[in-house]
Amino acid sequence: MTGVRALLVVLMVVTGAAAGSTEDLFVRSKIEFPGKIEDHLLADVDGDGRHDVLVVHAAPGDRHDYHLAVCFQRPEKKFDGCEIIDLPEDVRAFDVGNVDPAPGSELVMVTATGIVWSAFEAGRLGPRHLMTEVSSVFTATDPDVPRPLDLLFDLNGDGRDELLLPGSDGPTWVKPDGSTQLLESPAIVLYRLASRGADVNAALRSGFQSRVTSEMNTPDLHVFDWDGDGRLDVVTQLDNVLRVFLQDEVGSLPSQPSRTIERSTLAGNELDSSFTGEVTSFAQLDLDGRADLILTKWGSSEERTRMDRAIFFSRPDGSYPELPDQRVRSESVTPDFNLVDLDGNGTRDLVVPFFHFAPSQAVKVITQNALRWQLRIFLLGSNGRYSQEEGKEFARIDRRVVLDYKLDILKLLFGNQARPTGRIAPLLDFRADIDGDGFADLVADDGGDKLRIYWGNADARYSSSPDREVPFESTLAYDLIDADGDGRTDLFAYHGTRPVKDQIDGHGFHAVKRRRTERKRARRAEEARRARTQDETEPRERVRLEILMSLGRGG
Amino acid sequence: MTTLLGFVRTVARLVRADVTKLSRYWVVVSGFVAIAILAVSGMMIFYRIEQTANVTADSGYDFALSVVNRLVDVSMPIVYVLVCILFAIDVSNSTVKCILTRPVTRMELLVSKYVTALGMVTLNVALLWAVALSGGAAYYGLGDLTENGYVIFSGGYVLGQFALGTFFLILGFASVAAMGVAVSAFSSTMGGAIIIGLIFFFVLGAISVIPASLGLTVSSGGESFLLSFSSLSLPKQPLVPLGVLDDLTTGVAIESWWIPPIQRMLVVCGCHLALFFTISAIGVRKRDFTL
Amino acid sequence: MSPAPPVVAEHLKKRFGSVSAVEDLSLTVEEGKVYGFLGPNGAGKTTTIRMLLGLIAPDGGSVRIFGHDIRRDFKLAIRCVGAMVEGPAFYPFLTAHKNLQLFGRLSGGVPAARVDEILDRVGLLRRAGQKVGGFSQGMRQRLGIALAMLEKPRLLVLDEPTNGLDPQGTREIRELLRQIRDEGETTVLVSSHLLGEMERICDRVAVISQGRMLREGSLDELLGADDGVVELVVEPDRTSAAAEVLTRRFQIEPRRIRRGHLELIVDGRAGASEVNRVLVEEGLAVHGLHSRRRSLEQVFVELTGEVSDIQ
Repeated sequence: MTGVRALLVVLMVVTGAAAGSTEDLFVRSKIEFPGKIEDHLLADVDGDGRHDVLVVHAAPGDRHDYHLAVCFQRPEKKFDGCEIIDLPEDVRAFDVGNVDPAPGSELVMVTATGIVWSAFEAGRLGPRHLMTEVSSVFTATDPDVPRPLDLLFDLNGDGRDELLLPGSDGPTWVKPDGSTQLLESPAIVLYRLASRGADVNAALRSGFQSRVTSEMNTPDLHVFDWDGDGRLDVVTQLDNVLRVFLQDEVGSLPSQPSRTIERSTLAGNELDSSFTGEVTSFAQLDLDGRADLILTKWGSSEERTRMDRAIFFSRPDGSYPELPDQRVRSESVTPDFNLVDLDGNGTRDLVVPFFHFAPSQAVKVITQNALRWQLRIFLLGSNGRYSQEEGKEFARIDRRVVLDYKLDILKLLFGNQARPTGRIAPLLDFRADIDGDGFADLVADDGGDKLRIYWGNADARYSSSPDREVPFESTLAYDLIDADGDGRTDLFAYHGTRPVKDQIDGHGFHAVKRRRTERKRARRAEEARRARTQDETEPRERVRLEILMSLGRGG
Repeated sequence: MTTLLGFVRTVARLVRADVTKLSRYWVVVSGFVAIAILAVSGMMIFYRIEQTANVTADSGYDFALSVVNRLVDVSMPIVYVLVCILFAIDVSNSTVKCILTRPVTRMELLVSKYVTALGMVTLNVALLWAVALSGGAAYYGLGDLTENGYVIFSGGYVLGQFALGTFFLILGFASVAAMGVAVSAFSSTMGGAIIIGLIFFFVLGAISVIPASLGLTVSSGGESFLLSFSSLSLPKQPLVPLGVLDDLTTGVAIESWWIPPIQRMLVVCGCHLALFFTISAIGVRKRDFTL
Repeated sequence: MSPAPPVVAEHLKKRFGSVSAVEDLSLTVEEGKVYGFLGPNGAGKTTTIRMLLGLIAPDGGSVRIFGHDIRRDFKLAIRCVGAMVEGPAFYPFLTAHKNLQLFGRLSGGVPAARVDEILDRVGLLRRAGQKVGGFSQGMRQRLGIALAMLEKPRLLVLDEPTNGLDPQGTREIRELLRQIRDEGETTVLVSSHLLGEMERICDRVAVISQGRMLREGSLDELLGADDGVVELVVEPDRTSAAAEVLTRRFQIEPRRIRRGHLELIVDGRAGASEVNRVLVEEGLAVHGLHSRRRSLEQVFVELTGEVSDIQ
């Protein structure tokens, strides 16, 4: 159904809220509307060069009625409301990009049978256009929440987006004219004879014909200039195997991978140990423009998780050494890391979050509601290597930044906060340049409704106390992006339902106090009655966005 | 001045007498032997785990701290039980009347018990550090604190910080021991002291699992802060300084020990100490030990 | 100025809840004496001793030990005292020697030789190296006295020192006390409900019952109030003849006449030897003639009307 419904807009907007000198840093917008948040996406919908924010949400009370809220960025860094568009029921995934010749973005939707797109037309979707009928991973699946998916890329740089659609044989490259090309990178399929049902029935002693169930693992898709020739290439990744499809001068991609790269650092009994595992990542670390490999290996004891990262720098001919060029060791509980140019020398420095899981830390979590994070920084020098002394096995940790993150266990366990899917992590991020000075700033949510900002500099030394602190409702879902092209990073935070104020206060503590006098009791009864009637008229589930558009240090 | 000197002298005599008898009392001796055995075996098991999981501390200091971190929790109930019998050993044997018919006031007797308890705590902590550091030295070697082969802190600095941390650790421990003395001051039999003491210990310990977001919101000067119930838990207090020391082995220099968690620990321990001392002082002053 | 007496207690009062344990009790112990503190179980002896030693606070009244108030100058007062209250108490896991040394340490320490000396004194030297846990009641009792005497106190307070001992043990302790008294350096305050024992060693006694002092005085005073009683034993058949002689010659009416036994009071007019001589003159065979002092027991029964619990 491509039913288009008229817009429902705007509940509240707060712009440039008052309070204090810290507010000169950001233009704030808050958007709130009924519904349960599912996912979010940033894209330039109206073609004005500014990012708009799109939120997938379920209508309150009906979990299978999905809508897309499109909140436009206006001039002066303001967001003043959203258009709410019905998402057609057959949509499995979607992306927003420019596929038609006209400027401005369209909504490209993946259905079970193919690709269709519609233009955005003032609060509704325009007529549906079929791009191509093609099978994809969504073929023969049941509908679920329509998810934003990174599908659209302008591979050849002509200003119109093409599509890379994941499939069981590999991604299909769909050009705007509808022509398709398969890039062969088959999924791993795990077969299983007999279904779960057969197990149950066997246990109940009734014979059933065995069937086959299967599980498909499609490769991750990356669009990335692998060889440094200035043209985007397609990289698929499945486990430790990278398949690279290099784009040639005329803008075509090979059907078979140009290169297949596989590296592993696991050896000996590490292969058998359930303690250990590894993951391959790639990035342009040094200045040669070619992709370098980072293999993260982990193994754990009860206290610490060792994370060894083996780095293979690419050679001029595009090959990689058999043994890693450098190793970075840090203990941690997460394989995540960040690659950011902190010191502004053009190379990507490595930021490894570290959390020491000692018993005293566990007590700290329980008794003080706080986790202590350490961000370990390894700087990549102009010589193309991380700092490492002669004869040492591992690279040296150049800087350490220590951050306490408040962690409310009660809220975590029992809070009725709905959270969007996607990247869920505390906001501790170096990928921001709030002041636009070219150096990465550290933006850290303290978990207690404060945002701490540490200015970056050419030395990549951050002060031990935050340079700026602004109020900010803590979030686990956020985007950091320069949303208006002014060179300063802006912050989008997504929140679900707010805890009901009367039940739980800011600390999650039941704050109803015993009141003795009749008068107070009467007042409370009145308050309770009002709260009840409010509940009936206003749905409890609400989607909330907070957008902080940077004005830079000068304000 | 002379009164104070006399007080100190008498307390010292009482403590010496306590040491004499406790060091010959099999319960106390086997308690400390048990702690030593636990410490050594715990350390060896911990090392085996590290080796089996193919993850090593790399540094003797780091290893020692990890070992102490774990053993503190294990040894604390044992020391606490031993402290609980400090008074009970005299009351149950009726020897308290022999002490009180010597030139010894009840206050001196009480203070001497606290000093003895502090001594037992210190002995315990010293035992743990001795085992842990010698284990660290044997397995990984001491010297400078290194990480991935790089020196991050000099050995002297680390030991100095360990010593400071141990000082705070003992303070935290001492308030736990104060609870033991208070329980002891009201007990007549060893068994009673130990059972009631353990009940108190685990009840106060159970407070620590209350999530920190539960507590009382206290407003002062327009700013409100949360006094969480869990921060009142006594047996977990010694882990606060160990948490600070934990920074050291992860490469972060300890800029100051006078930080909010330590201040909070001192306030909590100070309140507990004052409370338990008052309770035990009332008990010791009012109690008729000869009954 | 004459030296302050070892113990001066004035108007002591103590209540335990609604039960009055001691009521308005005053006593003075003179230097160099053995002072017996008598009364049945529950009479308030131990409570009084606990107050004397500062173990419990009296509800009223005061105690001075050698002139030092036990509450205000506790340390000065208690330094002069060695005490065993309500039975001996030791650490069973320490040896006799170590126990004494340990307690001695509390007031500054005593030399090992003194410990041996005192152990020898109570006959426990051979057992000095044995743990007290294995001692018999009598040995503990003696060790308790040794502890009390360890620092050569000027005042020795012993609460029921013979409690739970067999006759042999009782005799040993009595002997010990007699020695102490004979040495004359130590004043002894000893409490007991074994009246027979006290009689033989005490110079002065106080009799208390239900927390009240019934009588206090020297043994002579207490027992001598009935002085002059003589028991005369004659041939049973001649009992009435003897009575007649006594009436005729001395104008004495025997207080009690039983077959063969006459009880009479002799005074200045007729000493016992005079009675004897006259009776023999009159042809009466005197089988026995002895003056009869009252026993403490008797005094006690007379004072309290109680018989129970008295041996």
